[in-house]
Parts: sequence; C-alpha cells; structure tokens
Amino acid sequence: MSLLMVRVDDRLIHGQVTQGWGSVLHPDRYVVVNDSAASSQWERELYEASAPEGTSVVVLEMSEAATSLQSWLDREEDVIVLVESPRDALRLYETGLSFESLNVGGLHFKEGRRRILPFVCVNEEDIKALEALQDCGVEIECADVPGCERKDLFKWFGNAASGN
Amino acid sequence: MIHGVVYTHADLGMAFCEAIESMMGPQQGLVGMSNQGLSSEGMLAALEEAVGAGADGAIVFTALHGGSCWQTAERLSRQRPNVQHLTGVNLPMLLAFINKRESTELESLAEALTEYGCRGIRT
Repeated sequence: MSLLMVRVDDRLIHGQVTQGWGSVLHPDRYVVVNDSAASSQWERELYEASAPEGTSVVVLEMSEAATSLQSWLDREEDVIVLVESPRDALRLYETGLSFESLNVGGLHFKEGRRRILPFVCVNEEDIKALEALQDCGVEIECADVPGCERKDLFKWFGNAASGN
Repeated sequence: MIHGVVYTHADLGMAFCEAIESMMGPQQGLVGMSNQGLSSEGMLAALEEAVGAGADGAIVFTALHGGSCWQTAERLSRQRPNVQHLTGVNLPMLLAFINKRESTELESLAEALTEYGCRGIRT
C-alpha cells in the first residue's frame, strides 16, 4: 500500500497535481474527497475526465472516504488524496485515515482569507485545523509544485491572524 | 462578432494574443487570461467577465485537458449555450479563428478550428 500524498488544494485536481506531482509520484489513482463535488454527477464526471492516461480519478464523500481509501491501499494501489481545505484534511484524519504528512499546495484568495504566500491564503479556521493536525503528529509541508523550496507555514500564521 | 478568450497558465494566454496581433494587427474581442492566484470560484467569475454577454457568443481556448482552466471552461460552456470550449490551443487554431469568426456561425467555427489546430501539428 502506498498513500503517496494527502494534499490540500482548493482546485482539487488540476495541472500542478496531475502533471507536476503525478509525473514525480506516479499514482495509480487520484482520490478527491469533497462532499460538494461528490453530490453532483456532472462535477464527478468532470474530475474523472481529468485523469491522465493510465490513472483514474475517483470522487468520494467524506463519510465514505476513509473506508474506501483503506480498501484501495490494502490492494497496494498508489494513491494521491486531494481535499479542498485544512478543515477537510482534519475531518479525513478524524474519520480514520492515518497519514504522516500533509501537503498544503493551494489555498487561493477568498473573502476572509489572508495571503501568506503566493499560493496560500488562510483564515482562522484553516490555521486551527492545521494546528490540530500538527498536534496529532502530522507533518505539515507547504509546496505547490515538486522541487520548490519547502516553506514553514506556521511562522507566518501570527502575521496572518494579526492582519499584518 | 464572436469573442475569443485564451485561458491558460502563467502569461501564456496573453502571449498567444500578442503573437496573433504581431502577425494580424490589433484585434477586437480577443483576450488572454491567466489562472494565477485564483480560486476555482475566482477563475469562473473572471472567465465569465472576459467572455462577456455578446449575442454572437464566444470561444474559450485552453491548453491542457484536465487542467484548472479546462475545468473552468467546461463549467462555463455548460452554463452558457453560446460559449464553446476548445482545448489544445495553438497558433494555427487562433489564426483560423481570426480569419473565420466573422463569416462562420459559432458551432461550425468550433468544429473547423479543431481541424485547423490538428493540421498545424505535423512532422
């Protein structure tokens, strides 16, 4: 079994994931865990159609994700998991999927989020969820593409919270 | 007039439009856009604005099947019947767009441009 990467990216599946990380990590399957995408057949099909040749994309609801993922991992599939927010990463961890590190790869600007890196904007909820995961022993890695310099997110959080 | 939006990564979309204008002169209704720094919702809103509400419709050109621009254009073309989406953009496709958009209706134009784009790839 191999859980190659669990990644927070609000674009879920896109070029950085399938072309950038995919060409380095060589997954069999990309698993999108997102209740909103899973609830729409059209959105599910859109993400499934994004799969590069030789791989597949599956979109799962949060409630079924940990069990399904474990069964694929038991069959020795190499999997990349994508969630849209730190909160969903925490929910996934709490529902039973154990992972040692979390890649924060894309949290783009939305109302209420503050930019701390070109590709990372956070609000209080994001920070709390990442801190909770870190407290559980999960290593938080910040990298949008392979080979980029790893950034320490936590040293920026104070600035984000205080508005600087 | 049918509008064209070239929507892709970094500055490539804008560079495609500059390349077209360097050959064909200044163009109305042709814009390049980048996905840089935008959330999925932000990308869709920006694309909607760029496409505009012209009665003749628009074609969105993207470069990478499965990428975020491709997804966004798929979402918009689903919502808007007079927006067509082509992926795999290249200069022959865009040149044909400029040459034919005033004499061809939207759906046939999209079909023709796919052929021109493919014909531009050869050894």
